[in-house]
Amino acid sequence: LDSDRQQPLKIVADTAVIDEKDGTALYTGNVVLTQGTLRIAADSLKIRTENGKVDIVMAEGDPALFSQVPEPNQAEVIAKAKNIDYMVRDQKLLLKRKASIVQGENIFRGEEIVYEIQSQRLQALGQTQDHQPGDIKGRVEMILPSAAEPAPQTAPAPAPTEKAIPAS
Amino acid sequence: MKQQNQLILSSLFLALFVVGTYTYMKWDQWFSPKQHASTTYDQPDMVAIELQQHSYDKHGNKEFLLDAESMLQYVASNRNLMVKPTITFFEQQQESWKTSAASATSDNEANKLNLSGNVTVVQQGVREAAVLETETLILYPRESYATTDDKVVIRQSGVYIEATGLDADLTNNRITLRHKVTSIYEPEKS
Repeated sequence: LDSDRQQPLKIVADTAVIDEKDGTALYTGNVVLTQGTLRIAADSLKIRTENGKVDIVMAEGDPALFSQVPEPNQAEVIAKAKNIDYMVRDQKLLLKRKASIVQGENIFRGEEIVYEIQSQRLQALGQTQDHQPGDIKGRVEMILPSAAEPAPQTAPAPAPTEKAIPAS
Repeated sequence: MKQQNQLILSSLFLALFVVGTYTYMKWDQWFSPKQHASTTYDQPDMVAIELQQHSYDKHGNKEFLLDAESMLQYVASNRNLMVKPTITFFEQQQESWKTSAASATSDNEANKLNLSGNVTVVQQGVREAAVLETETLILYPRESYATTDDKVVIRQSGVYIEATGLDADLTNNRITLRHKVTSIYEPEKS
């Protein structure tokens, strides 16, 4: 929701290492981040803060999971990828490696997907920009439900005594 | 018959003499044990009031400063008991962290301090200081290292973190939280 960004950002994990000097905190083990309806679950999650405010969240998992209700009464957006970077200030999501986003029946897959949370716009790439050895060079795949189909003509229910004549 | 009686009498006297001597030798130990133990613990070898102990490394740089309202030192048992100790750490001659507690025990050289009671570790010399609170803390001042198995709470402007178990490298400002970590970051004011 739009109000998510005004909510406190909560993280629960097994362990953490806080590095005061470079303003980062690395959380590992069953990591779950929540901020309003926004939720990220990952194996490890690195936070970078600026003046005590979270600037960027870098989650890693097999896969890492992101979910959020974009608008009231709208289907939840669910994203998966090996790496999920959540730019808190810019309200942008960067999914890398085996990335996918599902919203309702719309499915997008690629090696890198940039998703703008506020406008719900996304850009998908077949290959990650920071290509690493072992990264696959794939293509973007989009599955959109066909336009609303005409409602099927339901045949009037046969009177109990009549026999349905099979189409020849 | 007469000789036999004499023999019995003299052996009786001999037995009495041996038992008496033995009892006399052991009398102190049997009948005043408490008094013997108290002399080891109650009497400190040194009492310091408003103690300040400056410690420097081999290059002459400030290492840490130990303050205490009072300190009792027991040389035989290599123990110091401190009331309201405060240990200040330095980084390039500037105060970096300040640790305080209700009480502490340590060895005579203050190599290892066991702090207990409202233990706080407060970052110094930074705008948004981190404050760490716990019930007990083991501190190695010469290594600027602290550790506890207790519950820990860390507060810093806009950040609240709690966990169980901590290891803090106060030189490199790195804090490891061992179990059950919960962090809450306040959002940016829009």
